[in-house]
Formats: sequence, C-alpha cells, structure tokens
Amino acid sequence: MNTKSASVKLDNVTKNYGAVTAVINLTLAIKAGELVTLLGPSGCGKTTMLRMIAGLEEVTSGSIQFNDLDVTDQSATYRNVAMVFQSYALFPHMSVLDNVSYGLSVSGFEKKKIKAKALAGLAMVGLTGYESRMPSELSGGQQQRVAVARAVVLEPEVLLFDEPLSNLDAKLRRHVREEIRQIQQELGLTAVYVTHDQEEAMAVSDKIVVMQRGEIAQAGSPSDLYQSPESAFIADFIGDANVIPCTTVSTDKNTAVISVDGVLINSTAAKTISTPLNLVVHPQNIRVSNEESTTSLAGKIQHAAFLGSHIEYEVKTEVATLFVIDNQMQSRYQKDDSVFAHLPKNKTSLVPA
Amino acid sequence: MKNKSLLWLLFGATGACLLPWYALEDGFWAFTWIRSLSDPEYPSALVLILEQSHWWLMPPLVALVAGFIAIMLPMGRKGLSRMLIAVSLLGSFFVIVQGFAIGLNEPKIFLSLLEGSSAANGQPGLGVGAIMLIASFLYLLTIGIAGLKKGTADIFIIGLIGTIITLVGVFVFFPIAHVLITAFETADGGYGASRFFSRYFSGEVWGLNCLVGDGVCGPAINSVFLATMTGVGTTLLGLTFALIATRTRFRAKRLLRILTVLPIITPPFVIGLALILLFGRAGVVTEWSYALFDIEKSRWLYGFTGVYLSQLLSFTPIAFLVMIGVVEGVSPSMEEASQTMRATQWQTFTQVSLPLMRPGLANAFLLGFIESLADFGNPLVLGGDFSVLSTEIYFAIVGAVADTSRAAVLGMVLLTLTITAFLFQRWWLGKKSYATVTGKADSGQNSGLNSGLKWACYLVAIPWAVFTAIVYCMIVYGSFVKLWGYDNSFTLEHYISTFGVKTEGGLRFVGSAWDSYITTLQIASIAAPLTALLGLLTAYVLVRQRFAGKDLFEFSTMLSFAIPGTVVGISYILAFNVPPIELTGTGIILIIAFMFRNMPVGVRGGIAAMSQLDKSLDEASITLGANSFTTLRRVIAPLLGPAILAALIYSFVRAITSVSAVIFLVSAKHNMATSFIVGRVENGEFGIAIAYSTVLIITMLAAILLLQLIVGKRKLRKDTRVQNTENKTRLVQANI
Ligand SMILES: Nc1ncnc2c1ncn2[C@@H]1O[C@H](COP(=O)(O)OP(=O)(O)O)[C@@H](O)[C@H]1O
Ligand SMILES: [Mg+2]
Repeated sequence: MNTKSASVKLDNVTKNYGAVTAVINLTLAIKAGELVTLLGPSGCGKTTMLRMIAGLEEVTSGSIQFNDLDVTDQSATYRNVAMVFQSYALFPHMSVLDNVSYGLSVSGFEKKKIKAKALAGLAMVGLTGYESRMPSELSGGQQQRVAVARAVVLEPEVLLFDEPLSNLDAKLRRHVREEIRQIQQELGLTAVYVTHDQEEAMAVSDKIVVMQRGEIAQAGSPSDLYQSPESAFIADFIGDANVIPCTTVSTDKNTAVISVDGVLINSTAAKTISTPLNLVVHPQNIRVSNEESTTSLAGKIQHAAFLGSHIEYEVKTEVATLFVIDNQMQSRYQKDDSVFAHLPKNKTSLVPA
Repeated sequence: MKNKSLLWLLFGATGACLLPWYALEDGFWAFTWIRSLSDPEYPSALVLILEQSHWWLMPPLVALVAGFIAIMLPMGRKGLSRMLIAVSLLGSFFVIVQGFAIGLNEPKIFLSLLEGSSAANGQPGLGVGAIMLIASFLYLLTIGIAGLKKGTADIFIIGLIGTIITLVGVFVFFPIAHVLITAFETADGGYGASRFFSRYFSGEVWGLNCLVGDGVCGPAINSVFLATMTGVGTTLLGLTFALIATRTRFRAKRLLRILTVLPIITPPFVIGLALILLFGRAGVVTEWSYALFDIEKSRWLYGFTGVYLSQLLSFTPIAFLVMIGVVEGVSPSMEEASQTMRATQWQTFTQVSLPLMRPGLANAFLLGFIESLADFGNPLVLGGDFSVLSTEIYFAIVGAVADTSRAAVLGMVLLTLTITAFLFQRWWLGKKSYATVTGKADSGQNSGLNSGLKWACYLVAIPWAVFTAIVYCMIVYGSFVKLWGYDNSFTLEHYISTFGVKTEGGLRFVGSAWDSYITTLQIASIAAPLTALLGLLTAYVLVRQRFAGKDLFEFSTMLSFAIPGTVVGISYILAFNVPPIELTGTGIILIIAFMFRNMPVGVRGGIAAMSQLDKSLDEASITLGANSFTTLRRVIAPLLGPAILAALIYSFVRAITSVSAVIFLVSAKHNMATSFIVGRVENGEFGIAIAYSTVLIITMLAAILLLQLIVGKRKLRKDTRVQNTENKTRLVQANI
C-alpha cells in the first residue's frame, strides 16, 4: 500500500475555551512518515491539540498546514485525516466490514474497490474472517484493531490516535502498541499519538512532545528526553528521576563539578549555568548500602516495596527524599534502617531549579 | 460555496419568475396553476411587476439579481459571504415589508407612498413563489454566515439552525405576538395599554366572590385553584403508584404500565364522558344510589368536582411516569448506606429517599399544574358553571358575539400563568438536584417500603386503579347502549350511524363520521413524521452543535410546551387569517399547529436519546470524510430508532386526540374527529360520541402496533433501565 502521508506544521496554535486556555502558542513540525507523541499529564491540552489537527475543533489563533498547504479553515470532513478514538467509536449498528468500508463509501469509491480495500485493511490487522461480526461481538482488543483498520484504509495524510490503548488491559496494551507501531512504519504513515503514559510514548514514538499546561515543555527523541531533560518537570515525568538541589563548584567545557550537600560529583555540563541548579539522577543509578563512600548521602529508609524483579526504596536524606530502584537485590533493607545512598559518578545531568 | 449559492439563487429565481406569487384559492396541491403559468390568474412576481405594475415586488427581485452578480464577481470567500448576507437580508426585508404593508383589501401602512397605485385593491397572501424566494434568501444568508466563520462551520448545520429559527419564529412567536397586539386593541380599533390592563386585571377574570360573597369566582382564580389541586392530587397518586411499581413485589406491575399508556391514547374529553355515564343524572351510580338509598339525583358532577375528578383520572398516569423516574433516580447505594447505619426502612424513606425526591416531586406538581391549566376537553364537558380560562377563551370566540379582543386578553392571562409555571419548572430543574441519574447504572437494591407505608399505598392505589378500569370499561360499554339511563338495550346503532358502509352500487361510506375520521388520519399521518423530523433535528442541533445563542434557541423551541392549546388556537386564527400568511380553512394550518405544539416531545425525546450516543461516533464519521448530513443519515438516525418511533407515535396520537387548538382551526372542509365528537357531545348525542371515541382509541392502538412493527426495535445497549425511564420521563414532560 502506498500512502500519501503529509508533513504537518503547527504554527503558533492557540485554543481558548472561554476563559480557559487549553493550548498556548504551540509550534511544531512533524515530518512525513513520522510518529510523534503528545505526552503530558491529564488536562495539559493533548486531546485539544489533536482535535485541532483533525479539524474537530477550531483554532482560536494560529495556523495548521499539511504538506505546506494551509488547512486551518477546512473542516474535519475535508481534511484528509483519520482518527482512532479512545472509545474506538465503532458504529454499533454496522458490521465490522461496514465499519471499515464507511470512510471509503462516503468518499464515493466504487463498491468493488471498497470491499477489496476493506478486506485488505482487516487482513492487515489480523481480523480476516470477522467481516460480518457486529462490534459488540468482538473483544476490546479486536474492536481496537477494527478502529485502526477503519482509519488506515483511507490512506490518510495524517493518522491520529487519542489514547488508543487506555481501554485495554495492561498485557494487551503492550502487544497492541507494537502492532500499531509496526503498521505505521510499514505504511510510512504520518501519525500523531496522544497518551499520558510515558512508557507507551517511549515505546512507539520517533519523537515525543511533552506538554505542560498547554505549552510544549520539551520535544525530542525518546532517548534525548530521557538522557538530557531540560527541566525538572521533564526529568520527573519521563524518567521518574530524582531532582536534587545542588550547587556548581567548577565547570569546564564538557563537565561540571557539583556539590550536593557537600558531596562532590561530576556531571555533564549544564547548557544553562544558572543558579540555583538541580541535579537529575535516575532511580536505577542510585545504590543503597550501609557503607559510606565519597558520593554517598546519609539517610533513612522511609518506605520499601518488593516488586519481584526489583525493590523500590524511598530514602530520606538531608537534601531530598530519594527514589531508588534496586535491581541487584543483594541485600534488603527495612523501613527505618539507616543507610547510605550512593550517587553515581556520572550519568547525571543538570536542570535549572 | 459558489455552487450552492447559485443553486439557491436559481431556486429563488424559479419561485419569482415561474411560480404563482400569491396563495391560490384552490390550493397549491390542486396544481391548476401548472396548466396555466402564463395565465394572469396565477401570476408570478415577474409577471405581476411587468403586467400589473406591482412595483413593490421589484426590490426583492433586484436583491436576487444582485446575488447573481455577486457570485459572478471575482471575490474572496469573506467578501462573497458579506455580499450574500447583505443581499439576503435586504431581499427578505423587502418581501416581508410589502407583505405587511398591503393587506387583503387595501394598503395598511405607507399609505401615501402606495396611494393611487394598484396596491389600492390589496393583495392576497404569499404563495409558493414567494415562499421559494424567501427560502432562497434564508439559505443564501446561512451560506454567507457559514462562509464568514472559519474552520468547522458547516453549511448544512447553519442552514438547519436557520430553518428551525425561522419556522419557530413564524409559527410560534409571530402568532403569540398577534394575541398580544389584539389584547391591546381598544374599543375604537386603536391600541392602548389602559384598556388592556383594566381588562387583564378585571374582577371578571380574577374575582374572588366565591370566597367572600356568594357569587362565583373569576375564571383565572378557578383555573389556578383547580390546577393547584390537580397538581397536588396527581403528584401524590403518581408517587403512590411509583412506589408500588418500584419498591414492592406487587404482582400486577405490568397492569400499572398499561394504565400509563391509556391516557395518552384517550381523547381528553372521553374521561369526562365516562364520568357522565357513571355519575351524571342518568348515570349508573346515580341510578343505583337512587334506587337503593333513595339519594336524590343531582347535577353535582358538573362543576369543580367533576372537572377535578376527570383531571385526576387523566393526568395521574403521566405523574406516575414522572415519579417512576424520580423514585428510581434515588440511588440504591444511598439507601443501602442509610440502612447499614442502622436506620429502619421508615427512617430511610423519610430522611433519605423523600428529601432526595423533593425536586422531582416539585417537578411533577408543576407538570400537573400546567396540564390542568391547559386542559380544555374536561372543563368543556363537565365544567357547568365552573368557568376556567381555557373554556372561557373558547366561548369568547364561538359565543353569540365573537369577542376576539376578550379572548386575547384571557389568552394572555392563561399564557402568563402557564409560562410562569414553565419558567419556575425550568428554574427548579436547572438547580443542581442531588438525585440526578448519572447514566452509570447503579447496582444494588432499592430498599423496600415499611409495611405501614406499603399498605397505605395499596389502599390508595388499588381502588383508584379499579376506578380507572371501570371508567374505561364504561367507554366501551356505553357505545353499545341505546340511550344511556333510559333505554339500556344493546345496539350497534351508534356505530352504524357513524361508520356505516353501504355496498350496493359500489362501496359507499355513508356513516356521518367517515369524513372527519379520514381527514384526521390523513392530517395526523402527515403531521407525525414532520413533527418527529423537526423535533429530532432540533434535538440534534441542541445536543451536538455549539453556537452563540444556543440557550435562547433551546428555550424558544421548548416554549410551545407552555402555550396552552386554546391560546395556540386563537393565536393562529388571529395571525393566519389575513395576508401575508393566509392559512385558515386549510388542512395545512392544522398540520402546522400539530407540528409546533408537539415539537417539544420530539426535542426532549431526541435530546435524551442523543445524549446517550457517544459524541465520538459523530466525530469518527466526520473524520472519516462524511459531512454532517451523511453522518446524521447513516450514523445517528439508525441509532435513534426507538426515539424516532416514540416521537412518531406521540405526534401521531397527539394529532388525533388533541382538541383544544383544533377546535378553533377546523373548517367545513377539514373537520377533525375530536371537534366532530365535541359537537355531538354538545348536542347530547353521547352514544355517538362514545362510539366514535372507542373507534379512535382502537385506531391509535393499531397504529402504535403497526409503527412498532415498521420501525422495529433495536437493542444496542445492554443496560438501558435507567436511561429508559429517563427517556420516558422527558417525553412525558413534553407531552402536554
Ligand atoms: N469543550 C471544552 N470546553 C471547555 N474546556 C475544555 C473543553 N475541552 C477541554 N477543555 C479544557 O482544556 C484543557 C485541556 O483539555 P484536554 O485537551 O482534554 O486535555 P488532555 O487531553 O491533555 O487531558 C483542560 O483544562 C480542559 O478542562
Ligand atoms: Mg485527553
């Protein structure tokens, strides 16, 4: 299947609902064939942005372009988009085949072609043989796939997903997200994907756009966001990282020596050498033991949870309460044990406080 | 956009140049005009201007031409939109002004301007050509508005909103404005407020002599008193039945449900008739008590008592439906919570359930109140000397001297009362009530009633249900009795004289009722789908679209709910008896009256049904490339099956049973069943009246079953228990 995937440009897009501003001056470029995820906490404006791309909401100001053509004034009917809804929105009175054919038939394809395309779409999501079932006779995962097939057979310029996995159970979620990613890559579709789940976002995206209160907090590849967060918010949201107040002792071109409560460690130099600073440390990179070292902070276990493959600790120290993930599990500590939390010598980064 | 504009411009041009401008004597559907488009008897606007120097028809045509020029000019979307808006506003303004300026026989305003012209002879009402031209201006306007808005604005939706606003304006507000104006008429034909206020507040209307002196009270006082009593009575009875239906293991619950359907298919005066057969001077009960206990025969039934009794019988089932919704709306978990805190059933009922139901009780009361005020059939049959507003209005029109001005003043009084109650009800419902149905089906069991309360309910409800059943049996039985109370022998005479057929010399419908029966069926079957369509489209716009002024829009579409039938009746004869819109004496006026009177039923039903359709279904369809119209047709309409059925049934049945508005609007050519029956009642021919009513009830039952078969029932959702009652409740609330 060849596709007509488009590049998408959002230029200073703002959306107000009366006094509420859902999206503020959002500018973003999406390349053709790319899967971009809008990620952020609930209420940050992801769905609103997605619906504006779909044409279901009017922009208050700004413009939207597909392939450098301005579509801001086009309604959803006339934009070449397709959307997979959180609730799937399968038409309950139509069979699976009719659902998948719907978009083709309202766009006036011939009957034969419609059927062939619809069947191909169903085959792609592995639902051959289910044509005459009604949506209510399918499991959640199958309904999900019908929704994807229905959107994909239209060969849309842009394919939109609004939290497509939130109605599936955790196991299925992992499986379906891989399927979605595979189909998207096979067909080279431009896709915008909304989720509030950072793990899901990391797994499927070429690029993640993290939103906060209607604005872009940071955009970049999954590894960029994980390794070099630009703000405490990103660090916390993407990697559940610890954000610890610190001060700079000395810097050179690439590295900085910083002090956390008198403990000196190296870090990649912060792009912004502003003060005050925060040190970002991922929980897997902190080690807990009962021996002191040069990079350790003294603290007390506040909470410990055994989760099978690893143990999670909360360690209360002078400067911060640290979240630690222990994958080694060589020794186990109980609540109120006095311990030392060892900061890593590197693998840290700095963000403005 | 240009294509659509061109299409509507051509449509308007066809109306203006080819079709008859004026309303036709023999009606549009006779198609006599088709044979003779060039005939000077059926001139189009163009012909009128050219040949009969009706120069005042020029400006609208000029506007139309301007429209053609506008779409030919190279202009941007915004520019063209502004042009179209200007052209259509001006054009329709000119059409309207000339319509009001020149009456049937002479000019009304702009006298000096029109002096000496051919306007001196007046002009008839607007006809097909004019309507097409106005429609074309309307849709050019909506295309223009859509063009000015960016993004998601949809020509179909804006056109739909424009259509509904125009129709409601012309057929709800325009007639009411006429009543208002007529009410302000002074004796010498001018207009003034002083006479209006003196009549509006006169002792004749508001008199309290029945309390202080020994005279009678004014109709307004009587109406309010009756309505209050009916409101209280029906609410309590409704609550009793609802408690039995939902909180006890009463066996015959299905029977209760049947009782709720009956009044919907019962013409409003039929209960009154049955009461006469029971308690009238020749009534069964009267005869027996005379024979057995020597109780003197009297006319006690005629007056407040009789009307009150018949209204209780008529409206209790509706209160029951509302109260079922309310009682079921009390979440079982709250009652369970109360009981786990060791409250008894009685304490739970009085301290948890009842307070939660309070807003619902108030709502049911206000509904009963409004229904009683608007009721016309029962007071007409049983009122006697007890005069209420709705019948007084009627007598002011049909009395020895037709006094439209008095009818209009009384109409205003009645309208004030119903609208006050309506506003109060909306305000009350608008307040956040804590017992709202969330749509999330609550699991758990409602607590039962304690035995004292249970037996009290049984004691009230069972006799009442038996009484209702007897009343309905009377209706059927009475239609087979020769002369009630005097000659009780069995006869088919009443059926033969009304619905007799002769077979000799071909099938001939010789019965006296056939004419009105067939007219009624025709009109009801035309009105029902139109009403359902109008109501559901309005609901669609209300639920699914966002636009400025939506609240006002909703309010005005629901307003006709608060306009009593009698007021609709006089407002229509006042407004549509003279140009520019001449409709009296036609069947169309009946259809229109039904459409706008019953529209709130469809709107409420549609709103209830559509709020349960996930909005993402529409949006999925739209993003898949369908436009709003296709979405409506292929996704929403099929999913609204039951709501469509309900709206169809209600509007069909209401068109057959309604009497209050109809009685003003029927004509010799278009007589309706109910007005025929009322005529028989006034002549004392009860047998015929009752036989005819029985036939009507059976007809409606048959129609309901038939419709149910045709439209069919779809089961899409698993748990619709709560929603269904909600649905019914809303239908019922609109069902007046
Ligand atoms: N139709 C609406 N009317 C008013 N406010 C809205 C509407 N839709 C969304 N909002 C507001 O806009 C903000 C962003 O909402 P949304 O885009 O749905 O967030 P997300 O999808 O990221 O959870 C929220 O504060 C929400 O309350
Ligand atoms: Mg969302």
